[in-house]
Amino acid sequence: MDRASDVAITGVGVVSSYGVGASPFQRGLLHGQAGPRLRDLSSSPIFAADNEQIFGLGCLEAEALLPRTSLTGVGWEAKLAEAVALLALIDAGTNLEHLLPERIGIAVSAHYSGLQDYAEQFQAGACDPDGMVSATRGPRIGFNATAGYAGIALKAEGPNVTLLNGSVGGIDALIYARNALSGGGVDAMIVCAVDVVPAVLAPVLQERRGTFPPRPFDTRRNGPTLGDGACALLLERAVDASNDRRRRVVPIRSAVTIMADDLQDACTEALRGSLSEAACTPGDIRACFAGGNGSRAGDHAEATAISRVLADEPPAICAIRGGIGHWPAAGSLAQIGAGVLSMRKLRIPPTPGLRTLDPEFQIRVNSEATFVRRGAAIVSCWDADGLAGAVVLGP
Amino acid sequence: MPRRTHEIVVTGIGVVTPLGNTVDTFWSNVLEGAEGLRGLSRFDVGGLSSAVGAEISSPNPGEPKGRHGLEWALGAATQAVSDASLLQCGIDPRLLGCALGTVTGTRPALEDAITASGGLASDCEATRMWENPALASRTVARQLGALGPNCTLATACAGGNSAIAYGAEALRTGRADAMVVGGFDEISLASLLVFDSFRALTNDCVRPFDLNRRGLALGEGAAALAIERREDANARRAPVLGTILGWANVCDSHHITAPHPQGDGAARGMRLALANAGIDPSDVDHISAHGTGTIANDRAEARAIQAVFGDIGEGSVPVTALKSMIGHAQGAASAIEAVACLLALRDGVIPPTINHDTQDPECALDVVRCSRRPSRMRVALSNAFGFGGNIECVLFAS
Repeated sequence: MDRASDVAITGVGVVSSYGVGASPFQRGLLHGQAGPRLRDLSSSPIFAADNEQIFGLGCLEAEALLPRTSLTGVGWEAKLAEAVALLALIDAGTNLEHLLPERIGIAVSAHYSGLQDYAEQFQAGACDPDGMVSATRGPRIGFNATAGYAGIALKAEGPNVTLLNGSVGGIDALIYARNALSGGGVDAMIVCAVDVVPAVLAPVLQERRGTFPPRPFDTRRNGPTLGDGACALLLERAVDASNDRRRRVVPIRSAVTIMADDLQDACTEALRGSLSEAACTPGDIRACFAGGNGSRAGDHAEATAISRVLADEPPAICAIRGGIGHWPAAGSLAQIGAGVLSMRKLRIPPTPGLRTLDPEFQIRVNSEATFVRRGAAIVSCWDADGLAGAVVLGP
Repeated sequence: MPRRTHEIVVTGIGVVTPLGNTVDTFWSNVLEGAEGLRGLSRFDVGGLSSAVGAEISSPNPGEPKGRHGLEWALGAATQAVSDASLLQCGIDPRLLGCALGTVTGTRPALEDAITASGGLASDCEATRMWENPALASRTVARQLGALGPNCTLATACAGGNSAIAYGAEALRTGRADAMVVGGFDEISLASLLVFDSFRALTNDCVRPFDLNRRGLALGEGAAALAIERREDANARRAPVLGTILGWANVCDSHHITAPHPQGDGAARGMRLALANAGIDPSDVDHISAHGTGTIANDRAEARAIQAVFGDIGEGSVPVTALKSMIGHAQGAASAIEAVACLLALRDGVIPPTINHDTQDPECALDVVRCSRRPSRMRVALSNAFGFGGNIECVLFAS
């Protein structure tokens, strides 16, 4: 069996400003909702700032999902990681209890993880004469705290890694998990990321304030807006999952990340590379889940790349960050999740926030939900530092 | 793409440590059993239980926090690439990648930003450093002209080994033709405060596996390895320092900071690494222990080693702990220890574990105490364990 098709996504778990679970996520996207749930970042007692709008989470709803035996004394990042992992298992119709713990691994993409705890612990220990560093909160300053807590909560004793690569990190985590499964060392990998916008960022966000809600690929786009969210994908070998005919299996046909001197080149090479690895032509692609987040330069680079690579057989294009905000670590996984969910129903969402497509872009971006024929989907994401990633999803 | 099995070799190394900023100086000091711990000079340690650490002396006084680690990473990577003559061999930049392990990355820049008026601003250099955790590996890659696979691995104190394994996997799967892999970290006040809250710091010296050990001391630095597939190294006649035989990453899944008391996860990691390498415990000639000097870690690791390698005490597999000399360099630790393993294999000598005066009967290992030990070796195992239950074991061969 060739490697490109031997690993599949079998479950999707999402907590977003649309709600808890894959169904509200898909429903919200299909309805083209934008701008729900503002969260006030100015509530931090340490880092005062004017009210900053982000796509906030209904965190209490996530808490309601957690089993009673779950970890205590942990932060929201750990709780959300466990929640979306459980949601992915529910979506997959499995609890993995048939597997030995050492055969289950976790790969996490992180970005702001631990930043707020770092800032507050430093403030308490070094700046506040009456402050004290908490031994309970101390471990949370690490980037890998989320993965560590998830491993404990899920009793996953296989590989456990945290990868930092900005908006492309989710694809790096996917590649890591895919390699682990292809190698036969594990039987299931949970690929996960959590973004909880830290309050310490509020002064920085003030200076970068863009259009709210963001308008991916829109002629009046004026920058991204951060969002809270978390996503987990369950990966298994396709042959294992397919033994149960009730399981839904979406093969990962390719996953690439590219670094280039120019972002447009990186996006172009990532798209071409993923098609090549998947042995696909542009005509095989029914939908493109783009990373467009309302950035003037980033959206331009990606749109140009998409038109270069996919112009001959343009697919339906959707940019979900118009509806959920920009998730630095988890965004690419959410795009992949949206791709999986959409290809199950063969229905591609619109791009929330898009009113008027930038006339410079020679691409067709969905302004309403469309039906597509069965085929492959491509996920495109990019990071402002000149990195890009792309994933081709089955059939 | 079918999975290929390639032998991965090391063709270049580089280090920046409290015991030297070149490989030769570092190794000479390590073999002499030099003490790298001093009184901490860059931090106000009033109120902390410990005032010692293994700082790199005289960092550029103009460099802000967060910048030191980045500069050391670049320094070590440059050494490794130069040692391997990688940039002169005409390698496609898109097939030259970079992976670095770290605990705090460039996040220490946040400390100065918090204490400085107006420091938390969007457009200042410090913000770019503390906000972007992937900055270091990307900066190093761009300086080297490496446009291949690029990632920062944050598996806590196992980061260096995780980056080595990541790079080796990228070579085996054909994503790259060469990788620069390693780790870096600088001592930060936040890390000192956190470890102090755990009461994990020693105010004495670091005594791995010693009956009177009192904890760890933070260290800092960077190390890097240039690695390639053997056939590619042979084709360009690159001198080969050693081989990366195998590796394994597992999770303890026990506690966020404390290791499994019986060392179950660590034992599993070592066994999987051996299986990955296709060798038996009896083939291992030397173990570079994680050996932090804490009661819990050393005991758990000793139990794990005993479980995997059987015979205990003198005459069994010789064990050494470099952290006795350079403290715990966090994400750089296992990368520095990897360099030491390769040099030990090359020269047939195991560096000492200093400050080891009284064997802890619960850590009954053949610890190479106080002075170096000549030993013909073919295989060395390097252990790295981190918070979050991260365990990464890598095997090297001469």
